[in-house]
Amino acid sequence: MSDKRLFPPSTRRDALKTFANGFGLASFAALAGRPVEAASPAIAGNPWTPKPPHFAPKAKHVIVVFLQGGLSQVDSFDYKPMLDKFDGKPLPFETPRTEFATGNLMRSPFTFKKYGKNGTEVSELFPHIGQNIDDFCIVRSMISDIPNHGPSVYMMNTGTIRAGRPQMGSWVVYGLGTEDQNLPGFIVLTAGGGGGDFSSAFLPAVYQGTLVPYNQPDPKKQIQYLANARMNLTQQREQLDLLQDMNKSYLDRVDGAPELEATIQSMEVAFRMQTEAPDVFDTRKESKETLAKYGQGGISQACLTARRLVEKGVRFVQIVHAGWDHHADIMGHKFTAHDVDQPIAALVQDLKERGMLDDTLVLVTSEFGRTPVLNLGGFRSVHNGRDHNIYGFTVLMAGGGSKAGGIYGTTDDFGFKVAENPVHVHDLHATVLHLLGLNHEKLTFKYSGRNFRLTDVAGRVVKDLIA
Amino acid sequence: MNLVRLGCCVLVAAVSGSAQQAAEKIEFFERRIRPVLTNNCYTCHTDTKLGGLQVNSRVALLTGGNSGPAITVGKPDDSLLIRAVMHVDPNLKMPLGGQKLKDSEIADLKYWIQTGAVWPDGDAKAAVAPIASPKFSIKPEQRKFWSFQPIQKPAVPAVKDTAWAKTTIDRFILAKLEENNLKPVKQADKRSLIRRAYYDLIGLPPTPEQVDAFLSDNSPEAFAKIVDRLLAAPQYGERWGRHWLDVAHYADGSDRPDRRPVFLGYGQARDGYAETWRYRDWVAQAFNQDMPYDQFVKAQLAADLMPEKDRAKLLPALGFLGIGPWFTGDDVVFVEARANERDDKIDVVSKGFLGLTVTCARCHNHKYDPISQKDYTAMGGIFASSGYWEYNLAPEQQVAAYQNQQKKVKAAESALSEYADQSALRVAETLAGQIPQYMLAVRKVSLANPKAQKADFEKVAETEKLDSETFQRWFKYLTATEKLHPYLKAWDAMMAKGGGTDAEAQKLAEDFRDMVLKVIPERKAVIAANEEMTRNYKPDANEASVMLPGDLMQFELFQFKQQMVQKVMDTNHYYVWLDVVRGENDQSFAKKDGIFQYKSKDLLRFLTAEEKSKLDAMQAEVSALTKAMPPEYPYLMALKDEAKPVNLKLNIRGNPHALGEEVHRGFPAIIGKTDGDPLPFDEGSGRMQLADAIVQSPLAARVMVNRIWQHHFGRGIVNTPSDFGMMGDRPSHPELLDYLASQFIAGGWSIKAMHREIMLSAAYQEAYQASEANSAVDPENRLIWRANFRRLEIESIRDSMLYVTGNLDERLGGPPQNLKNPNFKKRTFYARASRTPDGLLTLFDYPDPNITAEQRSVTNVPLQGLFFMNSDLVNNQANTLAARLLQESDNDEDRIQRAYRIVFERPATQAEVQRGLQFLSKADVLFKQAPAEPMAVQAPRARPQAVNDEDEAPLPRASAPATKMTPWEQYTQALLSSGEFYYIN
Repeated sequence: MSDKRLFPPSTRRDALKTFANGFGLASFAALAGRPVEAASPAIAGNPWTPKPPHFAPKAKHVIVVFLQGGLSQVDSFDYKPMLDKFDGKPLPFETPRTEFATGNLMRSPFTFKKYGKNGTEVSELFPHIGQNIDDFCIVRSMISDIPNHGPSVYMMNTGTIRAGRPQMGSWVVYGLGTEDQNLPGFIVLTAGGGGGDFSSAFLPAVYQGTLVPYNQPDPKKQIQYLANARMNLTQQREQLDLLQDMNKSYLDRVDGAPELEATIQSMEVAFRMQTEAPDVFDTRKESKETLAKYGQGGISQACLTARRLVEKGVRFVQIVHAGWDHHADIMGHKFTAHDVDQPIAALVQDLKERGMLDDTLVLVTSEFGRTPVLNLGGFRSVHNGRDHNIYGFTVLMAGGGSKAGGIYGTTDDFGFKVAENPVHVHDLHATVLHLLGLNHEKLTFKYSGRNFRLTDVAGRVVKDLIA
Repeated sequence: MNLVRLGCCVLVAAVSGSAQQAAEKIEFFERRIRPVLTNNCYTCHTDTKLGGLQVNSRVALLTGGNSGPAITVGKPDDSLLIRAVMHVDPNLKMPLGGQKLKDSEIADLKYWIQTGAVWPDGDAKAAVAPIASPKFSIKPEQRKFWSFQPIQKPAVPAVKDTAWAKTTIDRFILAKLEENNLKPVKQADKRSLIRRAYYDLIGLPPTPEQVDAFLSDNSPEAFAKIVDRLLAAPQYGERWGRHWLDVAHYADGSDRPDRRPVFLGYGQARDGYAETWRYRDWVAQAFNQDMPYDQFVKAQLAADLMPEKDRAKLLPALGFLGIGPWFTGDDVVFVEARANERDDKIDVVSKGFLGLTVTCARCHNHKYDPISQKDYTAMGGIFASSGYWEYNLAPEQQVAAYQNQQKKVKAAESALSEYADQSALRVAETLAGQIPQYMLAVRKVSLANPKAQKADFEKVAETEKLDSETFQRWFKYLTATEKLHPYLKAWDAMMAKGGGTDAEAQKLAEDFRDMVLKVIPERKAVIAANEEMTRNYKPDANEASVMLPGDLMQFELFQFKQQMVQKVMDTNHYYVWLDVVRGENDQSFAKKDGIFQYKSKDLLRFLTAEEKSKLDAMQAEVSALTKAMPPEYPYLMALKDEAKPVNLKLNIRGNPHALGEEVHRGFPAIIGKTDGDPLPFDEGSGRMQLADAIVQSPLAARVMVNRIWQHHFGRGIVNTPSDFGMMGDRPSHPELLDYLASQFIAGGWSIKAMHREIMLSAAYQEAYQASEANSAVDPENRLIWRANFRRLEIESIRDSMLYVTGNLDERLGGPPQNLKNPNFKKRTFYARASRTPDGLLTLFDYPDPNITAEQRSVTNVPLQGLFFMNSDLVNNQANTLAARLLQESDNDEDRIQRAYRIVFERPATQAEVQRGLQFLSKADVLFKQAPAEPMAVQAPRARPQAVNDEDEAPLPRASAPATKMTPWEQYTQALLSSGEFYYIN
């Protein structure tokens, strides 16, 4: 702590060098066991360069499938036979604060079936994930802070309840850099669904999420400014040579400038990106078998693209699938689950077959779960849905050093509140960072007088989620 | 825990050997050790666990933190705790930022460790107890912290090289350099200097003619004249206004047509504000008019409370806080939302004007600075007493006329939609009577020809006298497998078995008709009952005041939506309604229309002539009323004191539901110069007193002169411009900072005078040049031995491109426009600043407008290269510039010379001309080889939904389909993409 104060980043460039270490100078020094040396005036490194983690990592890449709106745990992965028994009866304890007025308990309209070695119950909504359940670790005891979408979406993705903090993907790329220098390290695949903004907030803008529409078939249209409609690559190479000569001559005249040298470099990378990026986004190149495995529609395109990106070395991919907010009628889960079940199962299976699952962590999250009691409030046409539930919900993990086949935590008999082993969103974040070889307390960024972290002032690594 | 207790007891026994001695040790601990730990260490080392260390139990000390165990029992000299409090290691001095412990206290700690480190209760819980009653007091050494000291005009230091130092500033700079044996590099050449001055003050480059004039002006005042001219230019306000807007975290609303705050969401960047820009323009004007900075500060906090004569001029300033964020909408938990709104205001006010991180004290006393949670709460009370308010800028009559007309339009619109709605329902009821005919026809067709096409349907519809479209819909519906309700099960089974008998089919079809005819009135009754319930809903006054601050209450009453329980119909009946009568746009249901659902034009064919003419008449009325709408009246988004100012209660651990003692609204004690409790304010909300207190504090002037310095040198004297506290940077030139601050105040808080003083110094006019000797001592140029190499901000990059090609629309002020709109050619300052900013802006480090920004980062990524290579913006400017060059001369050499003059403000060297000619001829060959039809590529469109789909209304297309770039266009694009264009040295 104190060292940090003695060695504040004194220029933006210096600050960049600090970022390049992935954590504050002080902690770096502590880690390296030597005092911090005066910064050398050399080039201000590429902020995307891979950086060593704090300790040996299990996972190198992350794919988050974010189900926005609130996945109902009691209709998916947290089977509650007592709900059948008490269907239509009042909750036997005081209903905690949710968003809307709520009513009596409601059984799940979906049937459950046992899958895998442990006979884990999974509902009919997720047959494909069910068949692969042994590859997943189910966390049934998630908790969050505020039962409304905005704050909870921010909490799940940034570790705080409001705008203005970096996304988890931004933190991870800030901490570890990324392996492929021709693609951004944090890519968000979205169909125009929400998930808040993907800004890097106070982290340098290089760490923000690059939004790519996954339902756009032409790969050249997926990244901003990726292709030139008015010149071919041969012409552009010729033009770039001219431009670089201008840059070098300027560099000579000013007697050297690290910033300009970095610009010369990154123009070259940009040129290569024009061919590399469309290639990686072009899923049409996959085999028929692979394409069939992922299916069509929903997020199949996104899941397949995520695998291709990770294969290339992209550090963090987030897929956003919206539409889970079924207050009026939980039957709506039929449509949304259909969109994601097969693609998620295929993604995990595919990664496994390619030997990539070991170091790729797949996370399936939602900002919160849903209540086992009926949603009554709001202008609802029917009372067959569920309200928001921050007191006990489910997320899935697979690969990346997470415990395959594990089930962690339990909720009460009705699936409302956590009964055992609560995992706060901060804890999940701490655990994800841990799997990546990052100490969540050391991955800090000084902004406005204090060291910020993804986990704010909380978070603990849940060792039981780790293989 | 038992183990710990046991261990503790064993140890105590071993050391002391008697119960009485043990008791003495406990007393020693309680009287001499626990208070020391509590008072000096607990803030950081209990729950917060800084450095991983807790010091609130014996076991915690033995476990230690990141650096290992804090104590080694029996060995005080080996204990990290002792080493830390004795300041043995320069990097480990505890208490952090506080005064060293007294020698007697250290001796006690040593003795305690030596004699077994006895701690009576082994668990941490009991030990935390003392923290519950903290009496906040500011320690003398905290009061002595540099930034809280009064500004004193320092003596101007003596320097050896008196020839170099042109101004007082230079003597301060040079004194430091000489102290470190550094020599400033040479002065910048005139070309670099004028470019630097232009960008610094107006954010645009000089024209070749302006450069020529400066080069040929050999008078000693040549540069001063340039500075004065730039300070008088209206573009100055656009440039420096933007610097302030970064601090103010200014954001526009979206461009949706409904103008009022509809939805800011929970910071989710959704808002419908239309009049934000009046604040933005006020800021630019304030800079242009050189408004004294103290007035600038006061106006933004309390213009409504300032003397009457200035009020009209100053009121727009209240947008600083009035623009929000205000968190409204369904997504909001009221108490948290209000707390977060206040937090945002405390944050931007304290960091922006005072360089103090008061919001660090939201949950507990500030860990490093002498700011208590009470201080935070006191400031919060000021804002809790200041609600949102709109000041109309039009005569009352005009406002009333607008509002009345709007009411009329709304009434006519709702009458129209109600009538259309009822007509549609009547149609559905009529069609429902014919359900058996439709179902039987479907049976007939599907049995005969399961793959029936449109033509087949039309034929059958005609013979059976059915509506063809409706018939098709029935066919699709009845042959689909997925139906959520159970009422067609018998029908489906019959069809699966080959179609059953006619009588059976007739019976089942009539049953279904009867079901639908029952469902329609049932649904109507439910709708009517719910409308009645909503109409009669009255929020009680208390509830309302919690909901939205000030005048925002006029827009929405959302709370009742959450708690009001509507009447509903049977779920299965509702599925029938959805399938047959009317679909619902809700995530819970499939997105499809009901079979009988016909809208607007499609509905007409089912209506009688009378119904049609009534509908037409109503439509005509809506159009006429809308046409007669007067233009919207202008207004200001601002604040107003609540009728009854309030004080807030402490939020224990930052939780707005866990309330502690009430704190009178006011100002942090450290600057309010009170004993330890906040300085209380009593005049209304206290905003005016707050503003006065701010400008009277030494921080106000220091923080602002530092910001001015920052934007001239690329770095502040204090390099954390919004944090002048313990964790912030220390000034590189403290005396200079105070000199500038005192000049600032003495000069009537004139920002322009400050620019002049800074820019006329030799320090400002240094060249960007390498010096190995200097780099070895001061690699970061903290001491300013040379100029810094700086990239232009994105605003200047875009504006300059438009400017040098002659495309810039230089008109000042006005509502924002979408940056993606190719017809938007005003300065980037006027582009819509959404809370989720445009992708081009963020690509070049535009700060996140959700938080106040003290400085922008400067990052360098390939995606920026792609912008120069492929964006329409750069392509189009290159085309314009090429066209201009081709027109101005017919000789390529001359054109190259001209291009260099326009883009780089200098002539091209012979080598550069040759390289250009070489490129042009090569590019010409490739151009002729390239296929005539260029690839069709359009910019991608991926945005999070939360960002408002309306914001991205279809834009006019850039131009005709893209054509191949000519060699000259390629050449000019390279010029505009080169570092020399967007860096300044």
